[in-house]
Amino acid sequence: MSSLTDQSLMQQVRDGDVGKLGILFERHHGMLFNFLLRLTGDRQLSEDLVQEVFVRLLKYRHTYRGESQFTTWMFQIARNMRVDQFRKQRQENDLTDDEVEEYASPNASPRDRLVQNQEMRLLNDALGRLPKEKREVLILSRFHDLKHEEIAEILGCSVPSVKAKVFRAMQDLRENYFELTGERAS
Amino acid sequence: MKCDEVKNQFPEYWSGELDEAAKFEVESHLAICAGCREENESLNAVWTKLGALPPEQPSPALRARFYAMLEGYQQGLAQAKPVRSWREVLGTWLSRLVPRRPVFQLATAALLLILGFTGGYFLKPSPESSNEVAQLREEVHDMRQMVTVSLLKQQSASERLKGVSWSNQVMHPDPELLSALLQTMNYDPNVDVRLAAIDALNRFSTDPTVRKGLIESLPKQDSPLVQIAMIDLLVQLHERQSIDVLKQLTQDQELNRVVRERAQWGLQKLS
Repeated sequence: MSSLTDQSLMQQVRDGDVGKLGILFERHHGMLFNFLLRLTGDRQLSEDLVQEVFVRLLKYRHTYRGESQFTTWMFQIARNMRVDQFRKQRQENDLTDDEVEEYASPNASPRDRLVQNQEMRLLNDALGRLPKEKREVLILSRFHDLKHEEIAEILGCSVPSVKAKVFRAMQDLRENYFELTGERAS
Repeated sequence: MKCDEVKNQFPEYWSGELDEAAKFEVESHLAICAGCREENESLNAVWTKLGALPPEQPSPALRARFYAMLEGYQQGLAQAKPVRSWREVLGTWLSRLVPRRPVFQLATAALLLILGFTGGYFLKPSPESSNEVAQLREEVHDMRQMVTVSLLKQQSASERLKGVSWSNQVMHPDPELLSALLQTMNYDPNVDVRLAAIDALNRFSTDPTVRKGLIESLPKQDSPLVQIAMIDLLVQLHERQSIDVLKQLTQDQELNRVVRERAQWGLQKLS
């Protein structure tokens, strides 16, 4: 069972064996949760979004073509949905774009509770201070073992552009981090 | 290689994704360019720390919600499928059964008509079969009661609310269900759930235990909202047994003023 690839499992889900989605859930929900949590800084919202991603995987299973990696498809759906979600919340709460960014604000209390270690907490805060696009590309490349080609597909841009984005995001992260720790960037 | 090109390779260099040739190029540039060397060292330190951020665990509720959703979807599919295939199967079957020549079609129709009448005469519904239906109906009814009672015992307020609304499908509540609803009205920590329970009990207000329960619960409630809803219901039911309790409420100076006034209003209506 475990030797089945994600692609073949998702093809089976597409062809009507929807129970197989359980295996894909077990394999990937943790990673998806962490992606969304690092992006939003909100545990409950991230869990809701994970559930919604899997609902959509079922809903749009007929459109799965099996050409790209399953995880690429999953992240694409998560990204599209996150945008919807934020838009909905913005309409409800009448938030501006700047305020939406603040979902990952460094002082978000769940984040504080989650990360014990002081150094790690500061780094997490520094990550939270990055603009959403930079945070996203960094999370994808650092935490999810995705190749630059896959990230490019998820973000809908070229591979060289992904590399440049990761590098610039790292520079900004370092600035933020040194600002928080009181060190000076070299 | 220019500095910018080298720097864009850094992330792949750190994660060991570069092939030998590219890695060699980066390293030979670093050997001669002090600026890039420093940049590499300081960024690489942050990159390494970033990789040490521990992953978080979602709550167990996430898994439960997912499997509940998946099961619901599968049930939906299972119910939708037979309809489609049955129709096809039936269509092909019927087309095979019906003869092609009109004369034979007419004969078949007449034959079926006669068969129908004779069959109908012999197959009058027996009392047993209507018994079975009644038994089935009772089972469904029992099941609804069971679902209601078990939902009312759930941790989450929204589940308990669901339980209260399930009780609307029950026509003849058994004592266990009534006591579960009364229990909810008396002790549920959530005001919304208590209010919903009062509404639900309204449907069973012909039952004397419900009326008695309402009257006993009224002075014990701590939420003005709940107390007002109870007073309104008692007035609506013309429950004269509640007059004593209402009098007590009007004299209780520590009670919320609005509730006291409502009790006074209730007294006037009932007396």
